[in-house]
This record gives sequence, structure tokens and C-alpha cells, in this order.
Amino acid sequence: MGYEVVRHTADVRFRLDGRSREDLFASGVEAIMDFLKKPGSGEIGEIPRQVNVKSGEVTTLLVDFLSELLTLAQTYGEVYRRVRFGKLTERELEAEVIGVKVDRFDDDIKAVTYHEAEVKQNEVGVWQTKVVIDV
Amino acid sequence: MLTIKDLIKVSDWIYEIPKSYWREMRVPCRVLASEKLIGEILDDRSLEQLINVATLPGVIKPVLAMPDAHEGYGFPVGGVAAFDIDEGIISPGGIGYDINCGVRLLKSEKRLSEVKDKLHDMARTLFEEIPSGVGRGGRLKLTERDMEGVLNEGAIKMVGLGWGKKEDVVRVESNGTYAEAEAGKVSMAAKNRGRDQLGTMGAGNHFVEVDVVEEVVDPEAAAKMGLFAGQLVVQIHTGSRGLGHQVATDYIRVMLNKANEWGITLVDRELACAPFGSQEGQDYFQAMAAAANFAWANRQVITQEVRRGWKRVFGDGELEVVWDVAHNIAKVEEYVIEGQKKRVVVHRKGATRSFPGQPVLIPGSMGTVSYVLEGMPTALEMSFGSSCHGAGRRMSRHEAKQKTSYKVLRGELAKAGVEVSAGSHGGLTEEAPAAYKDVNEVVEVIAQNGIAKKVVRLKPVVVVKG
Repeated sequence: MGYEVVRHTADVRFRLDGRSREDLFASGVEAIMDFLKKPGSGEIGEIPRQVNVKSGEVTTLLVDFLSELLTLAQTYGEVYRRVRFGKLTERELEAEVIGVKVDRFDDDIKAVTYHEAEVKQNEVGVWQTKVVIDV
Repeated sequence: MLTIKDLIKVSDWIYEIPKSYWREMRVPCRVLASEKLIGEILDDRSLEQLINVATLPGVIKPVLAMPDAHEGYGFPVGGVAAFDIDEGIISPGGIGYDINCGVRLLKSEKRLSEVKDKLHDMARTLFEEIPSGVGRGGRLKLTERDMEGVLNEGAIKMVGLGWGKKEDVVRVESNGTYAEAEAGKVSMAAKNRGRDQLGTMGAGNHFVEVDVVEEVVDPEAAAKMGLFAGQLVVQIHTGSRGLGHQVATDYIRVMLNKANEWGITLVDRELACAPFGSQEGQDYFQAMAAAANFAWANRQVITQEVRRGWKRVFGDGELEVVWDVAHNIAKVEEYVIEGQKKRVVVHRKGATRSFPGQPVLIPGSMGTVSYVLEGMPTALEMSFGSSCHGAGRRMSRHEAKQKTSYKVLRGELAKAGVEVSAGSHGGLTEEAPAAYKDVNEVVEVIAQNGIAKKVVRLKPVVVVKG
């Protein structure tokens, strides 16, 4: 479903929504990557990266996943526009992300934090959480 | 949320949240603030976060918020907390993601009056010399061996590689080398993130600034530091870049996964911590020290880049290090607590060491004044030898960008006599002075509490930002 940027004193807070757990996680990828680099028409290339993450519970799994993608993005100079989950449980995921090389980023992220993150479903079944990034 | 009614006014410059406020608190909280600043601090959840810190195992009283405090992750920014070395913990959230973000001050022999017509050139030249901005790599790409040396030795390693002089590191906190560092405790991911980032400023609130000594408040202390009215100095504000950020991320994750095993109940995940004596606690301590060394190495390389730019524009003149201090770090230090000498792990997150006789560097927000202070003995009794670190944010980046016109801001800075070189419009507007607390008020609280005394006030003339 997507994401929204909301106010936070020193850094940036996203509100993520998803029709499913996968959709929520994909919204997180979109939020982080759009922040690093606004999508543009000139993005060429399809670089696949495999990401496997295990964590104590679904909220930390999401944050740990987005952290891994941040590390990959900054290490290789890439942004990931698509994600496909081979496995996504409460504590484990296996995913393939497809990225493009970028010359430079629009903005920097120091870290994806656990601050205020709490993955849950609302009364109509929409998956939601906030994610705050340290910039 | 806390209100002023929940605080006890101890003096015009100190407020306290008693231990009785919440049964989970092991110690009281003290907030160093004026009446004006306490209102701003209460606007976000800094003090709720401070209260959470007071619940951690082995915490020594009191936990403190500095007058520039604002909401952070786990610990507030502007937070100081000490933990018993045997019974207590170490927490990456008490140091921050940008390990050893800090400030270095350089002095010159030049007066502003001699070189006023060259400031525009200086802004442009420094922007060329110092890689800055988002995701921007530097000229140096470290080999595996060099990286290990940088992580273990810090600033002196860069001197050995031809970046600066041995004398530079004498005037750096811990001589620019955190002895407990162990490169092997830093992950490959962290090393990869930092590999091409030495000598780079980064973005956000990092900057290189040329200032003039606008006022000498304490002539004797100023003379001791080699500072005089009208003198040009340079501030470098940056940290450990992606390497430090990844170290923090890695170890928060490790500690979060083991919290149950240690019987630690976390009211906030970002308070993830480990017993200081545990394997994980020591691993993080050594990795943090290594990241701190990376930051000191970074500021050493940027010093040489600034020196190069200085020579290009002015033709001659030396830049000497006055002081270099971390404001995101943990140190093992000894204090007298309830009449007994005790070694503690002091966490300073957005807080600067303030030891008697040592300079304390307090940069203001962009375009506003900065201060050089000198640490006083009272700091050792009152605040674990700690002071504030800057002006402290009070408005989100988003709000600052919305409320600030780039053109108007540039105009205001020009009117104030400040030459600016910035990598992006957004990067400038989000750092507008209005987004920060009043540094004069912040420093006044520190001075009135006797933690540090004002030595000189600096006014910017050139600002270089990512």
C-alpha cells in the first residue's frame, strides 16, 4: 500500500501500510530506497541481491531487513526498487531484491532504528508500523 | 508526556525528576536547563527517554540531560549516564549511531581584517578540497591493512601515512587513539561502508566552518589556547561516517537478541545493552573504540584538506590544532561517588567531555555563534565531567525545510557576512538556525552551573556543508 513521511524532531519517521505482511515489508523497502534516491526515469540495469535475515520477532525482522538493504545500498552504490520474498515468517525471511546502480544518493541514512517500530494489524486487517531512520 | 509540574526546580539552572516519579527508576534524573530551555526540552520526549535510562542496571546517580537535549533513540541526545564497571552495562544507544561525532578546532595567525576579500574564494576552495555531501566518497580508499591500522591507531596512523604532523594529535582527546580499540570486532559490513569515506564530511549537520574570534571573554584562558580577538579559526564537525553507523547497528542487534538471556528488561529496544564485563559488552566497547579511532583519523585527514585549501587561497600561514573532542562516546573514567573512588563507564551522547583545564568546543547552529569554553572542576562532581555539545535541534528537518526559503536563508547569511558553499538547497534549509535552540542560552546554563567557563565566542565567516 505504501508509506507516508511524518514529523520527527531530529530525523525522519515513516508510517508504513500494507495489505499483507509482504506488502508492508515492501512498503518499507520503497520508503527507504525512495529516501536514498528519488525514482527516476533514467534508472538502467537489474542487479539481483539475495538477503536472508533471522530475528526475534516480526518488528525487529522488518528493521533488520531494512538495515541489511541500507548496508548493501551504501556498500555497492545501488538502490533496490523491487523485492520478491521466497520466505517471510514472523522471524525469518529470504528475499531477492532487484537494484540499479546510482552515481550518487539524494540523501543519507545513518541507520534504520527500532524506535517506535511496532508491526501490527489494525481493526480492518491492514498491516502497519512506524519506522524512524537516523539521518 | 511529562510536564513542568513533574519536575522539581533545584535552582535557576537545574531541574530534577525524583526517583519516586516511577518505581522502575533506580536513580533520579537531573536536567541542566534554564526556564526558557526546559520548555523546549519538554516539547519532545527527551525526558521520558532520560527516565528510561534511569532504569538500566548498574546506573550511577544521577543521569543527566544537558541544556541542548532533544529526543534521540533510546537515550536522548544531550544525555549523560554513568554505569558501574562491574555491575553496570554498556549501551550503543548511549553513544549514538555516529560514534565519535565530534569537533576539531584549528587556529591560524591570520586576522579577518587581512583577508576579508578572499572569503568567497575560501568557501569555494574548501568545498573543492573536502569531499562532502550525501554518499560522497573521498580520495582515499583504504586497503585491508590500512583499515586495520586506522581502526587500531586512529589519528596517528594518518600522520604516519603523510596526513599531518605528530604535534597535531597531542591536542586531541585521548591523543586521537582509543587504546582499547580492536579492529577485529568491527564487521566487514562496517569496514565496507567506511572504506572510501576517510577525509569526507558527510551531510546533515556536519560542516567545516571558518570563524572569527568575535569576543574574548577570558583573556588568560584564551591566551593559553593561543586565541585572540579578530583571529581566524576553523571548526571541523564530523564523525565516523558509515563505519560507525554500522558498528552501532550491528551491536544493537546483537544485544537485543540476548537481552532475555541477561535478564535485562528493555522499556525501549534502542536501549539494548550488555553487561559491560560480558563478551558482547567488551566486543562492542572495542568496536566502538575502533570506530572512534576512524573518526579521529577522519578529522585528521580533513585537517590536511583544510590546510591545503588554506594555502591555495592565502598562499601562506599555518593551521594548528587547538583541540579535538568527541561528543558521542563512552569512556571508562574514575570519579568520587559517595566518598569513594569508583571506575564507571560514562556514556556521552551529544555531550562533550569537560575536564578541568581542557577546552570544550560548542558549535552553534549554522550561521550562528559558537563557543570555546574551558572545563572546570565542578564538572567532575556535577556531570561526570560532561558538558553540552551544541545548540540542540528543536524542529524537524521536514519542518525546517518547509518553513525556510533557501533564497531568504542565503540572503540572511550573506547579510550576516557569511560565505556559504553547500551541496544542496535542502541540506542548507534543514539546518536553518531557527531549527535549533539558542546556543547562547545553552552555554549560559553550562557556565552558570560552573561546568565550564566561557573563553571566546566565535562568529562564522565561511560555512561549507554537504
